[in-house]
Amino acid sequence: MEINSIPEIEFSNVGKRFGNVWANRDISFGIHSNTIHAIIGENGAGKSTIMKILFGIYSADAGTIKLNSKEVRFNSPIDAMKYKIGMVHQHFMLSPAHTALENVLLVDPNQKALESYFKKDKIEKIKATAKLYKFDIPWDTLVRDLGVGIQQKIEILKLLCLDNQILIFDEPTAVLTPHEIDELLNQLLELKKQGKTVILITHKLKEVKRIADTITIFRKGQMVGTYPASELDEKEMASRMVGKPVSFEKRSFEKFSGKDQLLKLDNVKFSYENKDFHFNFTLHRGEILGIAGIEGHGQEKLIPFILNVKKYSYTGSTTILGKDAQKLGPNGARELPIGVFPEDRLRLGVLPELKAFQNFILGYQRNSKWFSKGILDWTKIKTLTQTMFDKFKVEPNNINLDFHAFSGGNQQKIVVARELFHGPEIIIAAHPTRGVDIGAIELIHEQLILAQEKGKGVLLISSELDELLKLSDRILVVRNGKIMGEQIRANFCEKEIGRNMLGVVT
Amino acid sequence: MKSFFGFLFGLFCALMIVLLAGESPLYILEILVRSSFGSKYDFGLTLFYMTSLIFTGLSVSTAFKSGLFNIGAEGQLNFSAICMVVFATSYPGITFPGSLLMILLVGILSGAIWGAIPGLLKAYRGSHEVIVTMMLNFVSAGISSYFISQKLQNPDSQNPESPIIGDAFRTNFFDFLNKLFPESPVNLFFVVAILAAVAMYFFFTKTALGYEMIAVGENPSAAERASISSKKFVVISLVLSGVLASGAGMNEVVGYSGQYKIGFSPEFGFMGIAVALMSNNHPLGIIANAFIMSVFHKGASDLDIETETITKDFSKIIQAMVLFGVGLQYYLNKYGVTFSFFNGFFKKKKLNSSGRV
Repeated sequence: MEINSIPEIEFSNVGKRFGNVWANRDISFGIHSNTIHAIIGENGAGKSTIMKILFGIYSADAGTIKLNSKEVRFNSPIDAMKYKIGMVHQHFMLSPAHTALENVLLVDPNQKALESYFKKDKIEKIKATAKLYKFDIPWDTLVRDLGVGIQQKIEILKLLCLDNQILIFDEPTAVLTPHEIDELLNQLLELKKQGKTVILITHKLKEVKRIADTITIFRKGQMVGTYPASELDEKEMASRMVGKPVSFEKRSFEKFSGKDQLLKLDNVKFSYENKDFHFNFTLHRGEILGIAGIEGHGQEKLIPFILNVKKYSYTGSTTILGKDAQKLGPNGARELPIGVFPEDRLRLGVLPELKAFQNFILGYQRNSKWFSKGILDWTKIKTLTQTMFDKFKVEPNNINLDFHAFSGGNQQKIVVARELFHGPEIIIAAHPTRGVDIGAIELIHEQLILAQEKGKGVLLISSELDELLKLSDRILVVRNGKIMGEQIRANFCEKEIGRNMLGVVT
Repeated sequence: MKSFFGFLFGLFCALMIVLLAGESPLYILEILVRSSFGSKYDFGLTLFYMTSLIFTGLSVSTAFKSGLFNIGAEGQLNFSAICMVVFATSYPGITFPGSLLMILLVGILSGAIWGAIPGLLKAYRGSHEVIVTMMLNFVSAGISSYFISQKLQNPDSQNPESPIIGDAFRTNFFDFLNKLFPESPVNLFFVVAILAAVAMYFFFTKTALGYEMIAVGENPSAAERASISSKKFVVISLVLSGVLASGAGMNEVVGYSGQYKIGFSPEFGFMGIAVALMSNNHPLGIIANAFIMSVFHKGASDLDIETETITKDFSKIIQAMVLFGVGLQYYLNKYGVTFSFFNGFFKKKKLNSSGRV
């Protein structure tokens, strides 16, 4: 690392304002050529904003950016691309109806409208580049049939084929399995070896620790500082991100009794949209049962199934809180004390355009606490919402705001508050901390552990292996709608779980 | 009131266009005011239009609330009007007050049926409500022309209209509101319309059913998870929408003329869409905006007569400008900009410390 030389990219006093709010303020730091520079911070800390300014998606309202000591100002990503800066977005920009090769060919800026884009020399160049960076890509498969890991590689290859020197990655590991993450991190190291500058936006500290040379920490739109990676350990990084010490302690597992059955899926087999599912497990009182699996492998299908068993035709039997699910009323399991943190908060859990307190009763709108003879008692609802807002420290503490005005972490807090308010016996938590900042993650984990200690049952569906390892008493791995493996706490093995997720039976 | 400055701005733009067309804006304004408020008769007529617009505005907004676009208010009011006339002429012997109750029931039921058809088709067959309601507009127009031209001609008139129904089916003889505005068509149903708007406001803000209906409109998947059946509410909402639209038919048949006249509605159903959009579906805002629209509608014919250039079609431009103005205000409000004479123009909404509105 050439810390003493002039940085390749230099931000000085950069600021960006949205309305009256500074998303970034007085940002000054340098990124050195041929390093892996991690930018970390909680959600909404402004780490993506600063990179979007560098990439020309936003323009800065204050300060300057120097590239190789020359001041630059990008008004669009096209400008940034001229300076050999490329960005891999969180959501891939690929055409699903084209093959992998076509997707790479399509990005050529010199392509003429009526000219064939299949040119031998270009294809050879692409394949040579892929070989150089050790990318293994099935060229002739349609992108829609490829996994996210490979799609991401195609995305990276697109940038490399444009000879980009600086590569920005926005939360690249959010969608990957542990195995794929491993592969990506090695790939990033390979890029560095080939002389590229890699900027990595992330909130996963483990990855940062593993590959980054330099770390810049953001908090609330401002810069906490830039440090060589060797100076900070994970705990220190987290504390500086949040602004206060963060505990990484694991919970105690003494109180697990494991006798009462709260939820039992006995050899349940059903089909949905031409996919077969087969579940066979029991959730006990006082247990956190983790469900691991690559996204889209059917673990999320468990939730609508459990909530509304009667809508499915299935074999086997489902027992919820001692009742045969077939014998439940028209509202299914919703009539029982079950709390659900939905897998996709905005799509399945809330009414984003309505106010926070209006969201607080969704799913419980006919609860006798505030409902009688057709009429809702809004005064009472507001009071109760306010108490939960205080308890869960929702920021801003204003129940009259529209739901979408809250940040991801606070949105999730509202959902969690709502679902826990009625004291559920079973909690189904799907990706409870996705898109949620560290402070809120801690609070949500605490709540799950608290529920477990009180003898409730928690079904924890997550794609974050760390989360599962931290909280679960048992972990089931789901692949293709079936349970591939089961591990109990005493002998958790991350590698084994990863292998099960990928379908490797050992 | 939020859209008041938008309204003024739209009106200002409209008057500028009038100026470009070579007419004096002040003169136009004077005609508009005189035409709508000039005499008891004129004002009564304005309120009569307003009544129908409140009903159709509520109809469209109720569907909007649950995420549906009902452009069939015109067909619904038409169908209920012809059904009421057919009923009253088929059973002329029924006596008051049963007669009045029955005809209102027929009106409500026919509106409900005309709403239920697209509702059921949408919920259980996936047909798009826009297509179905639009086609039902033509169907109901066809049905009413069939009756008026083949079965129910008025023997005393050359016009395409039905005979006048019996007094027992009408509210005229005890209509106190009509007495206040002699000769003018405004009637009891104006009060009913206001009450309907207040009732809808109550329904959407206080009842669990209203909450569930809004939930379906906001986010059907989340509603489904909260065990609110979106299918059920598609039907309920369009039935309610049809019933509300039928109020405009009653306003004409039961409240005022006692007969079905082809073309009695100058497309109240479609004007209702504008009213609903201007009010952002707020039931009480609909009262205000129905008033604005009725003023312009009433003024249009007088502008046509009294000026050279401002024809009825030109009046539509004026109406459109006002609509744009209100729409612009809505847009600005949404993005945190509000007008206020006291705080200076374009003052940004105050943001709290964490930066969110």
